[in-house]
Amino acid sequence: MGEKIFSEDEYNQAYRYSISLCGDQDEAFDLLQTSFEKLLKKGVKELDNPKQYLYRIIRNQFIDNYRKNKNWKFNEFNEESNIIHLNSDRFDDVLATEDEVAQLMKSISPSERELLYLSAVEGYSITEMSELSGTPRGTLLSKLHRLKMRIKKQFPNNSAEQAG
Amino acid sequence: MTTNLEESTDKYFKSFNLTTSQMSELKALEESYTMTKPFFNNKIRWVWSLSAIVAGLFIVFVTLQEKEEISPDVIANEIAYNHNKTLSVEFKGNSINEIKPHFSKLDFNLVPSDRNRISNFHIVGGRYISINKRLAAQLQLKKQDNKDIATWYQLPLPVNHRLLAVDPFKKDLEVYSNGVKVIIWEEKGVLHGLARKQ
Repeated sequence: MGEKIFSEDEYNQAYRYSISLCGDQDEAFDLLQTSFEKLLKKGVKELDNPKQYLYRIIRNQFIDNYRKNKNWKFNEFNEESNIIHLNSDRFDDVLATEDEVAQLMKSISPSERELLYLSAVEGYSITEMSELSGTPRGTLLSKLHRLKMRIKKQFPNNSAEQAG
Repeated sequence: MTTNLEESTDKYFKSFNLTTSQMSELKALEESYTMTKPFFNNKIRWVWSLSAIVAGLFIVFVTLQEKEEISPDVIANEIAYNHNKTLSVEFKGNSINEIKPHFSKLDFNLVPSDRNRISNFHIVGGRYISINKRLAAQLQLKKQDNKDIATWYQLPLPVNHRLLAVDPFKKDLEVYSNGVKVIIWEEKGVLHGLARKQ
């Protein structure tokens, strides 16, 4: 038996990343399976970081699928002028219950879900997210800021300042 | 329970796990590729393929350069067989020069021989014949008393050739086949054979 490429934990992480993009579990599994097969065809042994590569395939595959379905909702921000330099790229100052998060996930775009997932669950830095998505850091910071504003607007009573 | 958004998001996503069957599907997929995965990766496979092609071409080149092996036994047997058939001559003539123009289909020129064994005879005539799948000349020879008959064969020699089983200290090869003594030798770029009944 050869060496395993991914542990069960890593499979689940990739699955959750797919969910962050699709917002749907079945669709996420299809996306993961297709992407994983592409990774295997590529030849995993040649890759330094198979997980990172899988995430990139998942992302590109997701974008391809949406383009094909003409259901393109993956918001791309290219407005450098909208860059807001934040002191923090985290969401520490926003409070939410799990139910509210579930509600939030339905209301935000795939690109925003992805940002939230990578930031909150995988602990990616802005630089790492920028490398994965090929999006400039400034653009990602801008997206995060907008998202934070939207979340605060959606849950006006949940800011940490108010709670404290 | 209200916690900060990051913690809640973390809990939310971690509530999603692949089912057992989904996990099995992925593992099976991984295994199927691991089983069929080639031993070499793509780059090494390319280098390997290229090396194999170069090696193949080299072998072909060497093979082409190798001398074509001529088996004297095979030739001697064919010569003996043709000698025993006592075929009539197609072109009459008493010398190589006289008879040579009739053999225009040969891809070599008939040559005279300096060997004593030939000079003891006189040429009567000749005909085309096939030896070792090549068009050759059969010349009929007779001694002065017309009793001793021999046939003399001239065959083209391949560009690269090697006469097998020839004693390096003895240039001519004697083979006995079907009651016929066949002597084979190379002379003036042509393979010669002389056949006589024993």
